[in-house]
Amino acid sequence: MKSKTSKGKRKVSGSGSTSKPGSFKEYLQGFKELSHKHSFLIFILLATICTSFGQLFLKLGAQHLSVSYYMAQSIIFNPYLLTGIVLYAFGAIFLIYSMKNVNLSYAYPFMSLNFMWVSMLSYFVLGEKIFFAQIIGIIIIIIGVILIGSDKD
Amino acid sequence: METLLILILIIACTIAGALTSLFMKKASKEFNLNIFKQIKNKYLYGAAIMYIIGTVTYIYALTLDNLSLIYPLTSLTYIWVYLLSHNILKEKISLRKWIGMSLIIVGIILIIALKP
Repeated sequence: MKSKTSKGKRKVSGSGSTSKPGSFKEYLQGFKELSHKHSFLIFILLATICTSFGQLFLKLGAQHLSVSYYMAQSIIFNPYLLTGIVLYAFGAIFLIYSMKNVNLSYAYPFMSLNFMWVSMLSYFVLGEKIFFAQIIGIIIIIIGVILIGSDKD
Repeated sequence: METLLILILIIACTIAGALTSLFMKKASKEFNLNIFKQIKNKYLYGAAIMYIIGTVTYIYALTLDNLSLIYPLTSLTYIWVYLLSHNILKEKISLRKWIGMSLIIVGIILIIALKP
């Protein structure tokens, strides 16, 4: 009876077949799993923060744009827009890294953090006014994105 | 009038974004790290052109209104992606996804309609 329970425990912890329960090897294994989870959180946070700051710089770049026939030229030589696009690329790289160890359906709902960061950045950094219906709308959209993203099919 | 222009730009930019994903998915089937072979990969050109159209229309929309208002509207991309993969890639959409998609549309209408 006793041996059965210890076997079950070993299975739950997911350690290799050679390590004894409570051994240093098992401890290392547990630490690795924990660090995988933490690295996911850190990478997904970095991804959303990079993407949101990318949005901020795109907006700053758009403010410095004059809509004209030279729009294409002014897009290419606009330092704000370039910074925004580079931050966007970093966001994508962090997103790919964060998805290394978890399922897409687990990772994707975290991307709705973007809506929160962008709203906060535009309120505090750009000084934009946010109206009440907008907050409700954003919350409804976040719930929708979480519902879509967390679907395992 | 400006609201209508924003709506048209956002619809154009989100459709272009969804088409970028679709072309990338199609391109990924023949993708490898041999760059010279990728010159023949037609879908990659499609993805690049759609990406440029999406970015330009999005930046144009950003010149018209606040970032906090425009950014949530880009969630319309999800809906185009699922509709496109449903119709072209023949992927199935579950009830949960339909509910999520309708919630996104409700949120977008709420923001656009009650914009001061």
